[in-house]
Order: sequence, then C-alpha cells, then structure tokens
Amino acid sequence: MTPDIPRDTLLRARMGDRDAFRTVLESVQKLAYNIAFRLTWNASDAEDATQEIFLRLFRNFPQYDPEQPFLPWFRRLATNCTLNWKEKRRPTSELPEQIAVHDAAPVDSSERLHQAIRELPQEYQACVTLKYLEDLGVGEIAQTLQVPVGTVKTWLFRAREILVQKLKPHVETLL
Amino acid sequence: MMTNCDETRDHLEACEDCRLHVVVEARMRTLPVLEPPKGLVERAMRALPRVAPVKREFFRLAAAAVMLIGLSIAALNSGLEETRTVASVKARTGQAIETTSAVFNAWRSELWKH
Repeated sequence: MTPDIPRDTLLRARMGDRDAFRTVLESVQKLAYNIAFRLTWNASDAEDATQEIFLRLFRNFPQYDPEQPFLPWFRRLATNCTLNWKEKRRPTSELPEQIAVHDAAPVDSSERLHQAIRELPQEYQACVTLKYLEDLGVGEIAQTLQVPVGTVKTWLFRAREILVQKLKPHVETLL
Repeated sequence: MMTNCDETRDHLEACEDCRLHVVVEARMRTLPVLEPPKGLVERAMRALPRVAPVKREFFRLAAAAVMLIGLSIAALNSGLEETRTVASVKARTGQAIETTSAVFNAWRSELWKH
C-alpha cells in the first residue's frame, strides 16, 4: 500500500490545484481508509475519519516540505487525524460499540482477533496497525507517532502480550 | 539463545506460550487490506472549501496590506501639514493602493474561473 505519486503532482496539489489534489487523494485513499478502519473498527466511522483526513490534508498541504518524502508525512497526518477524530467522537460513538463488543459472541478467529485488537489502548492499536498493516519498522513508527523508538518497542511488546493473553483460550481456532 | 532452526522448532514444540506468540504474530500479518468505499474521493472533493489554503493565505496578506495602507492614508490626511515629504509619501501610498487592488482583482477573477 505504498502509492507512487509524481513530484510534479504533489507540488501542484500543494499550490491548490484541485485536479492534482484529486489525483493525490485517489493514490492515498486506500492507505487512509485502512489506517482509519484499523483505528475505528467500524466502516462508517472509518469513512468519516477518512473524509476528515482528506480535509486536513487539503488544509495542511502548504506545510508539506517537498524536499521530504510524502508518504511518511501523510501517514503521520492520517494517524494523528484519526486519533483526534476518535478522541472528539468518544462520548457519543464509542460507548455503543464497546457494549456491542462485549455482548456479541465472536463468530470466527478473525473476528476474535479484531475484537482483541479493538480493545487495546489506542496508542497500541496505532503501533499494531502501522507495523502489521503498513509493515513499518519501529523507527518509522516512532517517526509517524512522534514518540521515542523505545516507547514504540514497549507499546508493541505490551500489545502482543495483551493479545496473546486474550487469545490464549481460543488458540485452537487461530491455527 | 537459539542457534539454529532445529532448536527453535524443538523449543516451539515444547513451549505453548511461544507457539501462541508465533500464531498471533502470523495472524496479525494476514489482516486483510480493505477496499475503500466507492465515491470516497468524489465526496471528499465536494466537501472541500472552495478556496485553497495558499490562496486564502494570499487574501489574508492582501487584506492586511490594504488595511495598513488605508490607515497610513488616513493618518496622512488627518492632521499633517502638506509639506513636500508628506505629499511624496501620499503619492507613493496611492500608487501602492492601486497596485495592490489590481493584484487582488486579478487573483479574484482567477478564482472565479475555478
């Protein structure tokens, strides 16, 4: 999921060219939607968060330094934007989802895994998403989340520990 | 410390915790990549503000320049004696206003085209 966007397109989009901006959105929509989905775990919320990411990209594009690679900058923007969006929405949208998570019996191992990830603290979720979805190294994750590398290592370690503990009773279904 | 694959396999055979770690790690790597819903980009494009941030920044600067020049003129016209220096500043300020408004109008008409 690493779209290749021509430099010229990025520069035009940065200057406010709408056609170029549309091209950029088409290139990054899959990445943005998947980051949003892995942090919200709900298709409708992921769509709303993705719209927010695109709006934030439009507003913040002049701050992008064209001498730097675009994707890490965009990944950081998308992750932070989704986390902020979630934070703002927490009182209204997250409560029913939490109840639903505990009430519903997971049907298969994927759902069980998703549920376990969904219940992680949000910084752990962000780490797990960037590591396993985007296949980033700890250095890149640290850069994206703007935290020290050691913190990322700790979060990933704890996230894995929590997942292993939660999935232990269902190990046979995971195989 | 494991030195080769056989030892690793032997350990996994015996250790349930490590087996579970490997399984979870492997499952995490198979999380599906989702396709975004159709029309996502179109909806985003429709929701964008009409004026691009770079242009908006220009408008802010232009508005600030016009205000500054306006205030200077008001100050010059209000109570200053019409010396040669004051007259020269007045003339230059007038030119600056004309230039700024011409640039501003050019940008505005450019915007209406989009």
